[in-house]
Amino acid sequence: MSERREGERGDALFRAWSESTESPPFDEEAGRARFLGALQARRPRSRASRFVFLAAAAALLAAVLLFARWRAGTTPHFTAGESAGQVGAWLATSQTGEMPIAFSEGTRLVIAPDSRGRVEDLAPEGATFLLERGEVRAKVVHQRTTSWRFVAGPFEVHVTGTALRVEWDPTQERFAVRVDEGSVTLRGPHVGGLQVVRAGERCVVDLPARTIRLSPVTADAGVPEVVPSGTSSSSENEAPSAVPVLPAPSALARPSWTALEAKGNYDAAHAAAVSAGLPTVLATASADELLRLAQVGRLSGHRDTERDALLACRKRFGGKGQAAVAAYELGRASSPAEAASWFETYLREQPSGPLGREALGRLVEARVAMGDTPAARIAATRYLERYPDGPQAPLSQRVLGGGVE
Amino acid sequence: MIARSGKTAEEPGVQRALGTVRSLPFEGDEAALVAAVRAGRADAAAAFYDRHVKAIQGIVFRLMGPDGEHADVVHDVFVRALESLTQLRDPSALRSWLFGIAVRTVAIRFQKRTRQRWLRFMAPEEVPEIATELPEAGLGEALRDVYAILRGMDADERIALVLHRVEGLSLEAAASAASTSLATYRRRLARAETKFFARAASRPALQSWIAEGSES
Repeated sequence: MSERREGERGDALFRAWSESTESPPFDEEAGRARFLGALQARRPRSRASRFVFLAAAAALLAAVLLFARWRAGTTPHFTAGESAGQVGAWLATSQTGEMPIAFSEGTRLVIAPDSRGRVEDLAPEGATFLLERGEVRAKVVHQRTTSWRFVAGPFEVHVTGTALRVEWDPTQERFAVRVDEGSVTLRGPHVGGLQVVRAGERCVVDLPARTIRLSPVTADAGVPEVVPSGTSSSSENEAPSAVPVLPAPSALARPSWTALEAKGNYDAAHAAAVSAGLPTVLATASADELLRLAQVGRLSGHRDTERDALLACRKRFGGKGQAAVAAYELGRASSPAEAASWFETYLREQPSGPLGREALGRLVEARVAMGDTPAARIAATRYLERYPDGPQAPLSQRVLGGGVE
Repeated sequence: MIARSGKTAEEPGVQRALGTVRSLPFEGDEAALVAAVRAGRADAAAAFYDRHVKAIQGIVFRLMGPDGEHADVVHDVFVRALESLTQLRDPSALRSWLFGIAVRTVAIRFQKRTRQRWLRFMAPEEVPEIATELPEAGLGEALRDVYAILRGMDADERIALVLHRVEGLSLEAAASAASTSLATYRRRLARAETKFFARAASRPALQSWIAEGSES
C-alpha cells in the first residue's frame, strides 16, 4: 500500500507527520460502547414493538388520508373558457378569439388571440403558466404566500401579486413583459442576473439583437396587443420619450463566457456562464461550445458544470463526433468503474477516432484500478494489437504478464 | 463463543444462580470477521471495531486535524461501514475499504461545515464552535502550521495530499479511496502540493522541515 515518493519536497515533514503519535485524546472504550449501542439500536424490533410501530404507522396513514381529503376541498382549480381546466393541457386561441382562465383563488388570465400555452403546475400558493407563443395577460391576486411563474422560452417571470402581460414570439425570439400594477422579477438571457420590472414599465428582450429595453408605458394604454412576428415595437403603447435601446449587460458591459474562455480566464468564464443561466447555456449552446464549457468547468474547479456540459452534449448531439469526445471526457472525469464504460462508449462510437489510443489506454488503466483483471487483460491485448509502441504499452505488457493485479 | 460458569438451575434445591456470562475474543481472519458481522454477531462487531479503530482514528485525525468532532466522525465511519458491509466484495480488502469510507465521511463533514458557515452568516447562535486541542511539544508547532494551512485548502485537495503524501497510499489506491479517477486525483494532488508549499514558505516552523525534505 505504501508508495510515498521518497526524496520529494516536504517528504521529511510528511513522513514525520505520518509517524507522529501526537493526537488528541481518543476514548476508545467510549467509542466502542457507542458503536455497539448503535448496533443494538439497529437490531430488529421485538414483536410488541413491531405492533406499536405498525399501529403508529396506521394512525399516521389515517391522518394523511384525512388531511388529503380536507385538502381536496381546498385544492386550487381553474376554468379555461367555459370548461374545467386541466394542468398540462394545451390551450390555444384562434386568430381573433381570446380565452379567459379563472383560478379558484381569484387570479384571472386572458390568453390573447393567436397564442398558445398551458398551465404547467398548480399549487395553493400559485401556478406556473408556460407561454409557447403570443401573449397572456394576468391579474394575480396577492396573498401572503403567493408565488406565480410565467415561463416563455428561456425567460421566467416571477410574480407575487400584480397585473401584467407577457409576450413571446419564438420565431423572432423576442420577449416582453409589461407590468401595470406591482412588480415582477425577470430571469433570462441578456437580462444580467435578475431584472425587476415595476408598475408602468415594459421590458423587451430581443435575443438576435442581444438587446434589452426597459421603457415606460403610457397611462392610457388600452387593451394590450399581441406582438406580431416581425412587427416593430414602436407601434405599441410606449411613451414617445422611451429610453433608448440599451445594450444588453451580458452583451457589452460584461464579456460572454466564450470570450473569457478564449482568453483563458476560466474562473470569470464560469461566472459569466452562471450569470447567463447555466440551464439556458446547456440548452442552447452548440456542441463545440458545450465541450468548451466543460473545459471551463474543469479548469475553474466546477466539476458539476463540467459533467453537466458533457452530458448535455451527449444528450443533444448524440451520434456526432463531439458527443463521442464528450464520452471520452466523461471517462476522464469519472471513477474507474464509470470511466471504463465511457471509454468503451467512445471506442464504440469512434473506432478510428483521434482519441482512440488515449481512450483504449485509459480503459486499460481503469480496468486495472477496478481490480478487474480479466477485463484489464482484454483491454491490454487490444491496446498492444493496435498501439504496440503506445504510452500504455508497458502497462499493458505488465497486465498480460501478470505483473499487475 | 460464550463461556458460562457456575451451577445450573436444573439441580433440585439449587437457586437459579448462573454466575457470569463473558464474551470470548473473536478469533478468525478478516473474511471470517466480515461473515460474522454480516450474520449479526455482537462479538464480531466488537472485534471489527477493536481491530480497526486505531487506523481509522489515525486517518480521520490526519484528514481533519485537531477537531472537536473527531470522535463523532470515527463513530460515523464504523456505523456507515456496518450499513454497507454487504457491498464489500473482497473481505481481505477490508482495511482499504474502510479508508474509503473514512475519506467520504470526512468529506461529507467538511461539506456540512461549508453549509454551516453559510448558516452562521444568518444565525451565529445556531452554529457551535468546534473545539480544538493542539499538541504542545515536538512536532506540535509544525503540525499546528500544517493544519492551519490545510484548513484554508479545498476539502478535495486536502484529502488528496493526506492520502498519498502522509498515509502513503499508492496513487491508484488513493484515487480509489477518494472516489475519483487516477487522472483527476493526480491533478488534485498537484494543485494541493503547489498550494501547500506556497503557504508553508511563509511559516518559519515549517521551513526547516521542507528544506530538509528537499535535500534528502
